[in-house]
Amino acid sequence: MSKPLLEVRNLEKYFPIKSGIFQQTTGHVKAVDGVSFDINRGETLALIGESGSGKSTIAETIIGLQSATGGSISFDGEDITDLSESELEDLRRKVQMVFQDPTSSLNPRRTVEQTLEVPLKARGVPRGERVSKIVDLLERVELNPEHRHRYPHELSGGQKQRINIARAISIEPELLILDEPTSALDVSVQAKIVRLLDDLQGEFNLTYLFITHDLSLVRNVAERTAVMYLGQIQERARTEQLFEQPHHPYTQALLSAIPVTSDDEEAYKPQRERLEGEIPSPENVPSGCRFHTRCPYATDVCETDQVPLHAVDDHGEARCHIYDPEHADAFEDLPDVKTAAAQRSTSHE
Amino acid sequence: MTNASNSEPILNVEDLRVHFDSFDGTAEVIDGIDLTVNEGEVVAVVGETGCGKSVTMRSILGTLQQPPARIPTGEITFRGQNLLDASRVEVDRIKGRDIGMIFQDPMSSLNPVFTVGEQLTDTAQFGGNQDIGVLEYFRRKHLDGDREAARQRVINLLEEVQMPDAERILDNYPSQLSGGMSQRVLIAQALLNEPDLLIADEIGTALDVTIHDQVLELLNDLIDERNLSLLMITHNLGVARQLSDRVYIMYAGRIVETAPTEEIFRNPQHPYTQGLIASIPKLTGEEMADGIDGSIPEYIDPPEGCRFASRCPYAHDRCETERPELQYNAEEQGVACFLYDDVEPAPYDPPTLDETRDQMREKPADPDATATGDAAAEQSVGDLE
Repeated sequence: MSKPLLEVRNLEKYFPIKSGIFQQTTGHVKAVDGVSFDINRGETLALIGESGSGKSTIAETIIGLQSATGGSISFDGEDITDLSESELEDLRRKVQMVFQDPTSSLNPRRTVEQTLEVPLKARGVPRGERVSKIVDLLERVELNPEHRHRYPHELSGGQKQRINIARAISIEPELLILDEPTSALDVSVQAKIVRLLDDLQGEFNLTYLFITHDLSLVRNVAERTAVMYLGQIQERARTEQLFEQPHHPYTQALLSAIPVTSDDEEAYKPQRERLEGEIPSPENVPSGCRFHTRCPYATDVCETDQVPLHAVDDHGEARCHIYDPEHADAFEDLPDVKTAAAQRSTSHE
Repeated sequence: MTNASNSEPILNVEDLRVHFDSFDGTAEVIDGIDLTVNEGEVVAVVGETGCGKSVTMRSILGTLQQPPARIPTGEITFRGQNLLDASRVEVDRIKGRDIGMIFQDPMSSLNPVFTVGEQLTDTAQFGGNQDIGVLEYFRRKHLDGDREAARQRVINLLEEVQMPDAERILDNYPSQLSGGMSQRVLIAQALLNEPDLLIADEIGTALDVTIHDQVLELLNDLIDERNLSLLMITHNLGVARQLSDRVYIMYAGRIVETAPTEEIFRNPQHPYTQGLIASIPKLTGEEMADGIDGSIPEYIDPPEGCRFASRCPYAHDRCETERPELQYNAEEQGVACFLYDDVEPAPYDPPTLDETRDQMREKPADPDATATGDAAAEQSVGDLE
């Protein structure tokens, strides 16, 4: 494989907490804390996490809506961590984003045509060609060309999201960041949008960063998946691998918490205990392993020692002491997470 | 209803219609639905956005704004008493004591300017007692230790819903609670006056997966312990499967299918139910269908026949003109679709779930049709919105 399209290295984004009459900085919300990943050209990487895990902050930092506190991001070999406004404009010709709420990301006072005209103008498409371009775009996202005269309130949620996608691909970007693109939609519409995104990816050789909280959707969209918790990647693996053999206790818990619709899936889910308690506030992250307050296997080591990502197989890494040979004896008498995961995947086959 | 098993219905909705008057005409949002919840039963009403499930719930609770809403026909009976005819005071009493309600968004369902304790204690003291008068109100609130006793009741209940640190929570304002905690407070509030029927609208939808899971587990335990009947409204089939005994599938203001939960997931019959189940992404990685074409028809001047006909891969002439009624082919199992009509057989055999899934996946195999003419025409028919 050639050089990755997007490289994120040790990305950090801290938001200061200010208090008192002088607005002194009294602490930080560590929204993103040392996140690294690559995305190859034409590939889809899924970022999974619950609220407060920092997944949307990562997206905003990549596209320049937030400036990074530390670390670096490079796109196509060029460093894009700190760009000026005009450089950002150039970047956004290659990187586009589709937001979660299809309604609030469209201007209610513009018709579809007016909305789609803006990026075309920016790209320098002559006035005479714009309408035919817009018709092409609408057909590409499977909308009736007549829809171009409508206002957002005359469209359904799925149609609005198609307009957002059309707008994002209108300037032929290389990387598309999809921030929960289907979570505001019904399942029957979600399935259609997912298929559309898949078609577009094949046609334009697009690269996707797919951000979602819905693990079951990931299996249908992404080649690789990273699971986030409180600003850190807890596990990353090829998507197949992650489902067949989840290594991190958090991933296992996430998988087992999904309400499913068939007996097959019920049997497929890892048999884990329910997670106790709530997600700690990112203002005040737990010491040691960030997951230890809810982890069913946590020991003393987890409370004190920070965990690096440990390689667990050829492609996967998990941020858990269980996979550290040094701490192997600390987890000896626990039901073995590793074998439990392995057993499940064999028994299923 | 005759199809109910030996246990008594606690809530029965019969031929309910709800219309909304607007300048463009009358929107027939609920078009004759029948619904039963038996004692101790958990019933789920499942449907997508705009299918009328929230309007149904509001009609049952009497919180519909009338006008613009209008209920031309229908009967909603709770333990034999018709709620639509009952006086305001009677309805309030029933809602306060016998029916508990859990609303959708836990964060906005509590009053932000009162502490949790105040709100819960008020519910405990005055739930279903709106007509007590000023003196009695004053007595209960400030004299005789009535308030103290109610507060203790609240604390006990918060502990029962596994609220950590229940006593401290009482002095918190809703903004100081997390989503999961607010949800627990709301569940406690709904249970304070020991209702027999609980109505839950999209419970836990706004919560994270792991917290959602905890809340469902809690609800499951409470139902068992207190022998509650539950009517839950949800768009998530997975949640319905986890909690309910019986499911109603709703589409465009009508019930299109009902069956015991296991049955509906094992053997869904209505093409819409099949499409819905096939569109859900699978954990096991089986390919999912490509969703259902088109969208819900307009409620103003809706199609004459089956409201799903414009999106249904198996629609034929009869579906366009005649309304399919819910026909019970087994006890507690009914479907409103002409494919299952014995008297006048349809041109197609009833499809299985797998057939529908394949059907929905085959379409894009013809890319020319998707990009141009056919799809555009199809869209404008299906897509009346």
